[in-house]
Amino acid sequence: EKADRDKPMNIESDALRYDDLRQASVFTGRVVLTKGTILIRGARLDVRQDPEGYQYGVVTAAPGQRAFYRQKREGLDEFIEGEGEVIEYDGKADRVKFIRRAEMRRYRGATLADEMAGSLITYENTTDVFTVDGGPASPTPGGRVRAVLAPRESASAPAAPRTPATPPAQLRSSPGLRGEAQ
Amino acid sequence: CGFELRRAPDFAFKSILITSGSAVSTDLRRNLSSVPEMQVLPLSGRPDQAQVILDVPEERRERVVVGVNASGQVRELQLRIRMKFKLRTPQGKELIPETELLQQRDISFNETAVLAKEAEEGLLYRDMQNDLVQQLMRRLGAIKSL
Amino acid sequence: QSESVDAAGVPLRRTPLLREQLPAAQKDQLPTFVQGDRVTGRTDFETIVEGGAELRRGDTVIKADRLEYYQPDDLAKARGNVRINRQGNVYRGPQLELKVDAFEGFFNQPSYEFLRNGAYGQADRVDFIDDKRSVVRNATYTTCRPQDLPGWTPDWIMRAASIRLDDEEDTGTATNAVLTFFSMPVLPIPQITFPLSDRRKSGFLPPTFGIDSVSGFEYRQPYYWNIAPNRDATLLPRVLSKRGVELGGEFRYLEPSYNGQLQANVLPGDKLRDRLRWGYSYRHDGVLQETLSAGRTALSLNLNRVSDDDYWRDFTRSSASLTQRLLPSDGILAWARGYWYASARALQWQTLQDVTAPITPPYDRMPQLYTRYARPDLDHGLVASLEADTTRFNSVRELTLQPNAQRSFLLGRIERPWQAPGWFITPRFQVHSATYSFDAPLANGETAAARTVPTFSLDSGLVFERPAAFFGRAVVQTLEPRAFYVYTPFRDQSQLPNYDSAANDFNFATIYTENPFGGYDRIADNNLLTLGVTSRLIEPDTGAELARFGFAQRLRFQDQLVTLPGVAPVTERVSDLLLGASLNWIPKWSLDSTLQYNPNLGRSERTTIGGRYNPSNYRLVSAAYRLQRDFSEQVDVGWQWPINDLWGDRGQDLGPGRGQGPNRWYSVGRLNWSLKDRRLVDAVVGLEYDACCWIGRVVLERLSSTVTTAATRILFQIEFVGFSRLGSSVVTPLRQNIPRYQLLRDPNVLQPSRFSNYD
Repeated sequence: EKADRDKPMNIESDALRYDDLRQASVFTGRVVLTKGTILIRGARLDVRQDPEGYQYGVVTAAPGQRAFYRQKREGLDEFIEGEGEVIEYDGKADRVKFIRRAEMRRYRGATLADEMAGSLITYENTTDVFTVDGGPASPTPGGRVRAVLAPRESASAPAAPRTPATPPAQLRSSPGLRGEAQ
Repeated sequence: CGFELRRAPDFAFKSILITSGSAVSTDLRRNLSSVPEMQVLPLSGRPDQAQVILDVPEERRERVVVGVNASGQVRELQLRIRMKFKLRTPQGKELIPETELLQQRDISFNETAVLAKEAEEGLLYRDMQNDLVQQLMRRLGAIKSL
Repeated sequence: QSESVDAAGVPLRRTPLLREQLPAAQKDQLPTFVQGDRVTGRTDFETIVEGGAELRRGDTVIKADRLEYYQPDDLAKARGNVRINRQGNVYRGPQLELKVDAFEGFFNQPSYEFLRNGAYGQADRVDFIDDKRSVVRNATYTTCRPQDLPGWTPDWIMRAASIRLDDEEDTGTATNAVLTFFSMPVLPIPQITFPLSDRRKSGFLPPTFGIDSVSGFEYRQPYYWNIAPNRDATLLPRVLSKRGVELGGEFRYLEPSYNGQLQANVLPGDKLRDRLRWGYSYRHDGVLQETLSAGRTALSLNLNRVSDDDYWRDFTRSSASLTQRLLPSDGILAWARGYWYASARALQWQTLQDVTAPITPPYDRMPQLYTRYARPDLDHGLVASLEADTTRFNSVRELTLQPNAQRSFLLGRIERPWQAPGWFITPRFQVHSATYSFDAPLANGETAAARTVPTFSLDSGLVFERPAAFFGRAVVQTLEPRAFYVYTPFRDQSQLPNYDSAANDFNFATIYTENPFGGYDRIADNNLLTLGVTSRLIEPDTGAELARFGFAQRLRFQDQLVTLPGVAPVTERVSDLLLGASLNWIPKWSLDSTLQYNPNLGRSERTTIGGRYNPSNYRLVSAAYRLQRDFSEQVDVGWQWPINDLWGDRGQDLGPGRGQGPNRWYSVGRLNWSLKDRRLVDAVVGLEYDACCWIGRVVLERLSSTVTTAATRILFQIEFVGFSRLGSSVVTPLRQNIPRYQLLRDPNVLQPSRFSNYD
């Protein structure tokens, strides 16, 4: 959510190396980054800051693994979770990119609402716009994008406890009514 | 020459529920209850208490004219009992798929003797019913395992 | 769900999860699955899918090049070879807008195909009103499968300004439609409704017409009126060119504890006989009251009446009573509780006399009171029963030459059955005592009579079994000898008139009974032993009866003096030999015959031989010969066979009720000869042509009405498969007369499941 912008970012990892040439610090080994409601996990994290103070992070996962990203949505009791072999976080545009075997899930409270899978997913936090591109690196068969959208909010509010869905009793004339050749 | 008195078939089940009240089913229920240590549930019995369930979805008595003379007098009738049955376990495993049994008898007819023919038809229907019950008893006895 | 093992031994289990109809409550809970090459969108607001887009929810699948889906109002917009598959019905077209759940929207230049009857067509536009109703503008509708022949056009096609399809009512309503059959307009109709399935729906049923030697040109326009789910009526107005206008009708009602059916027709001023003709038949069965304490009371009525004696001749096949010249009017009020049963019955006959073939009218039972007390479970295994009956017998004295009478009788019976799987023995003793009081004195001047007859019988039998093999097939062979002795002393009944007795047929059911006569007016004096053996061949693992042979004969130790009026006493010491055989060795063939052979005269008294050859669907030949010596000799042949077999075209086996593929001719028929009259008495011969999307039928029917005259009728019909049946209800005479006749399109064959056309 927006409040994450001015929250302190703290990072835990096995090791830290500062790369002066690229003005970036590189964390390696079970890296966990938290910034307000944002949580990122991965094997290696490169963080760099631009002159205006926006931060850019690139998280790469251990080979065969996927990095993990999680953030609360603005003003809603909903969470966005995403996974991908590489996760790029752009502080300035408040955009997250999941690259290769990308998956994004949206939770409404505890229940899973939407779910996307593709080879590249970009998610604009401010405008709530996401784009999913297919391609060979998609986890779904045939490289196609697959999305599962939850039923609409209004419809799914469980107004009354749903009675078990038994088919309504249809009164039909039994074939016997035609009567056999007596 | 190898013949010996028929012995009661050893049924592979010890309790049965027949879910129909039709004439043949009632006769079969009476026959089965004379089999030692066989528990025959009443029509209103609960399915899960029986090892096997016999459904009789259809049992129909038919009476068809098969012979008329030139001046419209009926000379030959054919009586039939047509029934369908299937046997399953309460869990739904199908032991005998839905099978149709048909018994038929020819009976002569003439309009003047219609009252006596009515009694004779009752006799033939009972005879067909006994044949059907015997055939069902053999079929139930032929089940090897549940 | 139940489990059956498939060929490879993998247990298959049926699952209830694949539901044919999604319950409405669940419908709006379903998620939407979206697939495509590229997806963009805003959560909970819109989703845009490009490149082979596919949207799937519940039973609806939408495919298109580009698909926009707006969650808030559940609106889907699709562009570029759009295809919707909803419950198996497929719509294709360039552009679509649809509210998916409400299934409301429009579709431009669609082509569509319905799963249920394979009907398809094109239209300018489809407006989906809701998930049950849609309107197709300027549409075509046919069920003729396209063939890739140059210049191919469907045999029949219906073009309509608009077709309103209603799944709830299961009907299609076409407005200013034209049905062309081989480009010949058959039905220019302002508005016509056609059934999408066979559910009951009020409306005009297709008209039927035919040509008849008695009534001339016949045109019948039935109207079906679906009054209520458990009540309906069919009005059958009929125009007969040579006779006038007839109004017929049928009304049915079905209640939880009773049901009934009334059929009636009236033809005022029938030119054939210059009088009013009418006829009705009413049947009612009901349980008046059923409680454990008070028992079960049931009423059943079967009333039949017609206007005159020639009714059966002039209104063929329309009388509900089986015996067309003997119409019963019968009412039975029965009560049963525990061991008791009682009934009051009134039975009256209307006999349609014919001067060339008179019938001695049977007796009316006006009324008959009857009670029975039966104890099947007395101690020491005894079974006893007591029956009492009093009946008033009325009839036309001039024809029966007997006085009417009131007869009452008491019948007490006691037996002790010993039964075991391998043997049984049943001694039985019964006493029958009857009293008569006649309206007029008999020949000997008596106006009353009484008679008491005791009977003793002993029935016994053994059942032997052994495994055997015939023609290389393992069977269980049984040998069932049976002996039945009966002794009834002689009581003179020669003076007694006969009201309800007649000689039973001589067959395997009646030969082991105490009295050779049915009814209670003649109880024969018997001192005879009936011996018989039956042998059955049984399939060991299913218990099915493959063959059965039997013979029986009666040894008489003294003459039988009690006979029906005008019949000589029976003196042979050895009765006719009864032979019986039935074969079901291979399912295709079946043979059934009984023979009553009289050794003294060296000829058979009663013979019935019937055979059936039924190798597959739509291939059947059955024939039967039935003889009653000096009384009737009938031959009955029925068949249904594809004519294409003659030139080797065996067609496809599509299972029952689906025909055998296109362009096939079928010959169908049933012929009934009365050899005594040396005439073809009842003939129905038909020709059916199955052109896959329409079926043509022509049936010639010839019913003899006297020894010299007969009524012939030609009925013809075109059935547009999936649309409606035009032409006379030709199918009913075929179904009633030809044993095991199979419809080329049987409506109640299982409808295709939506999963059979799954995207």
